[in-house]
Amino acid sequence: MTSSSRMPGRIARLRMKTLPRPFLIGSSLIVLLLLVAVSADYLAPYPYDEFHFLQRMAAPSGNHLLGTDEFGRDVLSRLIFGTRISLMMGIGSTLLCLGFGVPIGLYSGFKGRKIDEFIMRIMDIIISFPSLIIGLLIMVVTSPGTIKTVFVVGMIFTPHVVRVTRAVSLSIVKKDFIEAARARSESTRFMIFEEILPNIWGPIIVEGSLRVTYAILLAGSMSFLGLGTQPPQADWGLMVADGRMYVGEAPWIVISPGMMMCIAVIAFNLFGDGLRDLLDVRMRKLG
Amino acid sequence: MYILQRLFYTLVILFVITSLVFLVLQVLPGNVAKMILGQYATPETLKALEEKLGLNDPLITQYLRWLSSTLRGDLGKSLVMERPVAPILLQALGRSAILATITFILIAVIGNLLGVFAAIKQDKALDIFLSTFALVGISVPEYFLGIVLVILFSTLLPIFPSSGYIPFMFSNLWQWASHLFLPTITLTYTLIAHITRMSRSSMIEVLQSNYVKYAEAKGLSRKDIILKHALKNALIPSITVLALDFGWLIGGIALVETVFAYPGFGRLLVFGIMQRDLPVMQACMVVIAIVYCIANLIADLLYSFVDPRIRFGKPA
Amino acid sequence: MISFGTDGNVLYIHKLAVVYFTEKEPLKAVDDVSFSVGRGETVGLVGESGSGKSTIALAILGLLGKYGRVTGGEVWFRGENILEKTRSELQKIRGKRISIVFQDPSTSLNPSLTVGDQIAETINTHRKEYSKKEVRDIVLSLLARVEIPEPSLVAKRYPHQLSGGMQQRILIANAISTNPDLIILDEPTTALDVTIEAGILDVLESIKEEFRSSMLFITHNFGLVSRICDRTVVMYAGRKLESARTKDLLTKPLHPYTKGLLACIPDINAKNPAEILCNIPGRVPDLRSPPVGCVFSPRCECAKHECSANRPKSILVEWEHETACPCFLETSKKEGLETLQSSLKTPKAENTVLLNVDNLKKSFRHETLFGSSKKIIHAVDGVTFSVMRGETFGLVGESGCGKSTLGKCIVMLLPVDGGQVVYAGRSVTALSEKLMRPFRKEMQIIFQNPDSSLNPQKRIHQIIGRPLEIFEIAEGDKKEQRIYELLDLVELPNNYYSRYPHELSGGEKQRVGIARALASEPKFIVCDEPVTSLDLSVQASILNLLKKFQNDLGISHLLISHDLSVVKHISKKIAVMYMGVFCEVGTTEQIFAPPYHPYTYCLLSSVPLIEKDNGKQRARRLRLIGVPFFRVSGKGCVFAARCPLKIGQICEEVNPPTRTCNQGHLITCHKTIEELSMLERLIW
Repeated sequence: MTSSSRMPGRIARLRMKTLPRPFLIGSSLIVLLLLVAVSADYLAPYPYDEFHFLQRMAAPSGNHLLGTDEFGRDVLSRLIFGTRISLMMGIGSTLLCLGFGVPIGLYSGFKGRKIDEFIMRIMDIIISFPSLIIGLLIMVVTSPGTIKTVFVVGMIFTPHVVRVTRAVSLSIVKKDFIEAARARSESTRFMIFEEILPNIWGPIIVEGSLRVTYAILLAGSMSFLGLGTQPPQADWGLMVADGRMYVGEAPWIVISPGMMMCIAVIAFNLFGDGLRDLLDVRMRKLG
Repeated sequence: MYILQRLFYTLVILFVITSLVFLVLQVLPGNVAKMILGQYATPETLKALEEKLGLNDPLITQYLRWLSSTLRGDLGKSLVMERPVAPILLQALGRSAILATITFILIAVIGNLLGVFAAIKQDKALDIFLSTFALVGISVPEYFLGIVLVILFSTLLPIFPSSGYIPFMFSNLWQWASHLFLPTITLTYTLIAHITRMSRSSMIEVLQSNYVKYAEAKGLSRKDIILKHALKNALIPSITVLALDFGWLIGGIALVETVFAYPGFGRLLVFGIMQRDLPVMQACMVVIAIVYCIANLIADLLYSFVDPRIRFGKPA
Repeated sequence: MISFGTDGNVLYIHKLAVVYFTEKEPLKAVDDVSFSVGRGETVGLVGESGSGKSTIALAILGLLGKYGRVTGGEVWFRGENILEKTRSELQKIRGKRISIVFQDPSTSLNPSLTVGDQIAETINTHRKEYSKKEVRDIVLSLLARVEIPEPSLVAKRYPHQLSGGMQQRILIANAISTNPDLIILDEPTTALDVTIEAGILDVLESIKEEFRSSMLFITHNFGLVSRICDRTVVMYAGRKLESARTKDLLTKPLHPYTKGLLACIPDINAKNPAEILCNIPGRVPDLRSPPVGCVFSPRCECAKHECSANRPKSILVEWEHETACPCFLETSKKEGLETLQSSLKTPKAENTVLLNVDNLKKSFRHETLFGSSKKIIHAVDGVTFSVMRGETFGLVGESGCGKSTLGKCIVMLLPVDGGQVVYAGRSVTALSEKLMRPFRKEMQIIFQNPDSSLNPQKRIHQIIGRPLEIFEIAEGDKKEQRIYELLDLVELPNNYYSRYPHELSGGEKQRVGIARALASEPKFIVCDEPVTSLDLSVQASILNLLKKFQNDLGISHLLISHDLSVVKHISKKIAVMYMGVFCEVGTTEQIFAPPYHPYTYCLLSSVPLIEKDNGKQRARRLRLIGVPFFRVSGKGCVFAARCPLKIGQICEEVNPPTRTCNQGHLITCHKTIEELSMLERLIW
């Protein structure tokens, strides 16, 4: 066989033009957003909570590229800081649910039988329950805040990650090389970390990127209803809620954060979908 | 036999959820009495109110009291509105039911159709258009979409009212419908997007299957293959999605009704939560639990009915 | 423009070329292939995987999918070039004039329609004049024609409720429903057991006689070709290498590839099974960049310089016997055989028992959270045997008989429900994982599916090296050296050390699996269908390897297979298994000679032999009665319900005794040894 010793474990050195365009768009947008989030302090023209009472609800102009809100705060700056918060909530909660969900899913898939069934039934119950309602309930019982939102959203989405991880683990556990490992008296730890885990990275990363989209939307919804990020912080959902009343006179207060949220979610969606397609092609070539 | 098993399981879940709800809410830190009295809370008034509300009784007693009154239909009295909860709830449910039903029918029909069409014309113009349409739909938050629609069709072009509700009367048919229009579109768009994507990928998978290839080898026309072979198998997974839809639907309803000030169940729930109105919250959660269990049960039964592999197992 | 309507050819394929356009480089799946199928003739299309035979079938029907395209040649069907037809014209031909039976019936049938409906659909599409009732009657008569019992019941069933053999008969019923001119069968029995396969072949033969349709029979099994094909075409890497009347091809093959292939097949009739099998060294070429000259030249023993420079032309040697190799006049490879033979050491004669299995039992029961199902499957139901040191014990049976389960129980991959496994005098059945460790080093296993037995994320040296680590056999430099030694032992080149599994072929992956098993220096290896997933030319080399280890290293094997010729070739002792029980146990000679257990007899008579003369085979076939199903009660003979030699009630109610004929030859049957000795001798 002609062979490039392509290493399935690493990202192959694919030429840029063989990558599909949507994937590239998604990835570049994500990089852009991350840059904005990280450099918010330097990038934003004004602090996010600085009032400019004389220019309340001003239309977009040279001074304030996206106008000001009802308190005279610069919308662009709030948008930039909002990027940091919303991305942090989205990515942070996803990392959390991956951190909990992947081990549980691995364990469930590896053990199989009754334990697996038991775990999955519980997960199924939580998954089909409306996530927003769970989130709101928990926030009502405790006091809301940004960090707490990250935790809550992470917990809510853990069952989804468990389900995906478990499905992928099951397909690997069925394979003969796992039996071969058992025939060598390998420890459970070895089998899970050395044999199974390296084979499931791909689908997990795909699931993670798509989870971020749900996390951003859920966190945004909770902030919109007042049970997520609290003022005066700048969060996209919160900005939409705040600006709702002034939609007639100053629509830019609402449109800007809304559009940003759409763009961020679309970016992660394109990235996740594109990654999934790439992985499918690679699977077909290897398998 | 299978049906009875599912029914039993459903009842158990229902019981567990409602109990959990009750527990969680009843043991709110920053307790109920303080919330009600707000700034007027002094140790004496707090104590008096707690006595009155029976908050000092052991948890079990409170639970049983709540359970028995709920089963009787007495859902308590709203702390904020000072009115019995049950009638408010029923009315709100009715209004949301209209919204939900129309939305559900629309997404079930249109969503699946669009997904199937996109799959049939995979990678052609129609598919690219529909897939982009769906991508935007799953990326846009419902509340933002609602606000944008309000700007477009209420403020700029005054066609539809931006909020509220008018009771159903034949004389006022257009008025009544116009209040429903924007909320329904908002809710429908985001949910159709999800369904479209799912049914598209399901249909694509079916179209690449061996039995479709075999049907083609038998000489069936493309139309026959799609109608007789592909559709049924592609739509079976859609049924399991019905239960998931329900989760999204409730969340969506809460947000959309808030944006449009539509006096339905979602708005009531949000109101209850924001105001920490305990009886309202508990009653709403019970309703959600019931509807959730029923939806799951129906989806389970439908699935086992429609997929012959489950319905007729291997003969002994 | 030549018309082929009048000269009696139903199908004429002329210089067909098909290319698949996936990834970056196009893949030449079929290159300049020409052959014809006459009226009423059955033509076999033989080749290994990647030879392009299935692609030809798809190309004929225009079903190549979005990545395949015909880049040259014509396909003439009844005087018309069907490659030029439009889609709607093709629809009138597919299923009506040309029908096809695919390899895997379980995925070809729609799971949510009844099988009766699916047959009716074919009829309704092409013959619109029948009423509903008439169609129903036709469907039932078709089901009866393909020998399906109780047609009216079966017609209402869904595909998943039927066994593989039944499903395939449904596809055949579909294929003959419109009385087509040509039936294409793409590996129709590859996924089926040999007894079921024989039944399907019976049906096909009777259809051939009655309907006189032409058939294009695609397979890799020369035995089937011998049975049913009038003429045969041999394909390799997308090109046609030889075609002839089947009898001529099998008795006087001309092309080196055909000769090599036929020599690879373990001959079940071979008198002296100590021979090393010939094999064809090398690999199938990458079809993205095939060799310039003769496509087989890189692997050909008698390749000359011109072979790799120029494409050889097809030469018509005798009546209908074509070959694409000019060297057919040269001598055959008899010399090769002798050199191979001398490298074989004589096996050490040992008579100590290594492994003892005593009344082993293993059952499965479907368990859920809400309680277990009542249906218990007795996969292994009381099995007893011993394996000596340095001996290969063959375990033969069809799918579902429990042989894989038995193998896994012995290496302790599955917990046992009863009985004992005694290894070197120590019972290993109920040991804790920690105590089992030293035994695991000694007892290893090789799996059937080379793709699934290697971790795709690990390099070869990691896969082979891991047992060395965990059993503390070697580390550091010594480990590296040992890995190279193991690579040599399984005849893999040194530079495979750092490769990944996906860069290896199926046969090479299987060798890595063997190297991994050998790394722990075992004394006993369970080989679970080690060659079943491999091509013929590769099978031979793996079998040779196993034999070498048995002789050189003194390793005992438990060779599990459904292929009797494979088992006969290496094993000293054989057990025939059916539904969890040993029907017959004995040495290889004893098993293949009478007295036979009835099941053994059915198995042997179902094996499609490469026979130079067909008549003998047909006469002595003995068929199983009824259809496969799960045994319900625990009493009586397991085989009773399907035994064609059943005595009567006693077989169903009383457990049959185990009778001893000669030294070590055990048969479990109610019939006496004398009666069973009278069965005709099948294999020589």
